[in-house]
Amino acid sequence: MSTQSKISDFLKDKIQIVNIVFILTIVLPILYPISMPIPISKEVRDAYEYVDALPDGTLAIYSVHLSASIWPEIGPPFTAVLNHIIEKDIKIVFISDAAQGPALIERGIELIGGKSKLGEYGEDWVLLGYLPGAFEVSLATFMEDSSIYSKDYYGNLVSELPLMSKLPAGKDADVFLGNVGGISTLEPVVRQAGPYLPIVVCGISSSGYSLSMPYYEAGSLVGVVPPGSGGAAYEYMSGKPGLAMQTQVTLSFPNLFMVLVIILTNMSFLLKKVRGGT
Amino acid sequence: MAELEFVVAAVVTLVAMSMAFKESWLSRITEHLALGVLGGYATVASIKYLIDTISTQVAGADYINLIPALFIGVLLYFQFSKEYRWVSGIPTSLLLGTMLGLLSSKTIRPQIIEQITATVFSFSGADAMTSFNNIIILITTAFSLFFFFFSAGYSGTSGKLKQFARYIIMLSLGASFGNMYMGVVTRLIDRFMFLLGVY
Repeated sequence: MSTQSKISDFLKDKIQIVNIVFILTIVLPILYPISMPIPISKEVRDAYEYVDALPDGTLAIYSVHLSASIWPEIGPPFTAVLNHIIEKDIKIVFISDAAQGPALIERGIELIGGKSKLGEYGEDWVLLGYLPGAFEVSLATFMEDSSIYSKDYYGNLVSELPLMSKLPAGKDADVFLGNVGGISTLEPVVRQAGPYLPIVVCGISSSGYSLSMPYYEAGSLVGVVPPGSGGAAYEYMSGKPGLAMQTQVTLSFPNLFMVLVIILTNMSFLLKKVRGGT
Repeated sequence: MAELEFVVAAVVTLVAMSMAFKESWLSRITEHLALGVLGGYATVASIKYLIDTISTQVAGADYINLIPALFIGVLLYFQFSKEYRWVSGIPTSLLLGTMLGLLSSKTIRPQIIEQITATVFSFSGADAMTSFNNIIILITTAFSLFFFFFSAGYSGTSGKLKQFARYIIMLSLGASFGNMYMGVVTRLIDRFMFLLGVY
């Protein structure tokens, strides 16, 4: 079979044409980026203003549920918030309930300029690492006793880290920042950390964003940075454009294409119905 | 070594994407590879935590916490014995009981009281739009609860109410699906940005 006949057979299947056009709507904006307005929603503004108002010396627990599969959604808001925090003298204790979390936290730190941007390790920031087991139980225990971590991610004894002497229990921190995977990781945070600390959701997956809004509206969350437009809005407000803004602009075109496809297919379906077809 | 990492990542990404055009033995291998790597990484990370905890407690002679915890953990492995499987029920029940206790003790305030208060008692907002939104939330919540609580058919007045509630639920499911779709496309964009060398 000649190459030309293979290509023509391939293109006879209309879904392949849709796939190709869909890929072009993603690739072309990446190669030729354009600027677009970024909407700023109330929950993102609340999150930004709260973090911006944190005084120097604030001790924050940053719970990061990152895995490679949701890095594209939660990673950009994570780096956006980190870029904001490094301007202030905020002490951070990173914890994670995902096995890949610590490695991706390090990746996020590299993207903002490296570990030196966060300050001195052990004094200004600590990466405690992955805590296996049910997140509800591990977070509840951490909030009461931080010695549930015996060693940090780098193998140092937690008892020998100066910053951890200020955090005998998670509830002794000043604020809880969370990058959560979805509602299954958000709800333990609301239940176990909520009674003690104000919670700012600095990133959440798209499937969990709509489910987090009842908690934001009820006041359980100070602010929420959703994926996509939320991270872009946060970067815009902090004046440091990055991955989130680029991704958000690119996202507009495949979304528009898909809306067009949905409208066309529904029109075709309705026309068939009107004409009495099946 | 860093270059090899990027080459392997690019090849695996392209092979996985080829599944959109035609499934092949290569794309199936990438699926198995992804699952295997995820499972293996999580296993190693968990074992590392266990070794760190045990070694720290042995070094500090903290046997009061260590020995019961190890004993209960070992009991879980009786799951693999046909005759003594019931023994693994003891640590399982301890784990489940602890989790349920922690869950239920802290559920009432954020997930029941605060939610009811925010839904039912918050008509006024910062502006007219917020107040309007609050009223819509109350009405749609009431209709959704009506749909699930009452098993009336689709006839009569209750049937019309149920039909309206069904449309509301479908709207919200559609919005959730739209969010989920955007999340999936975001991941695809990330892969294309990687392939095109944006970062």
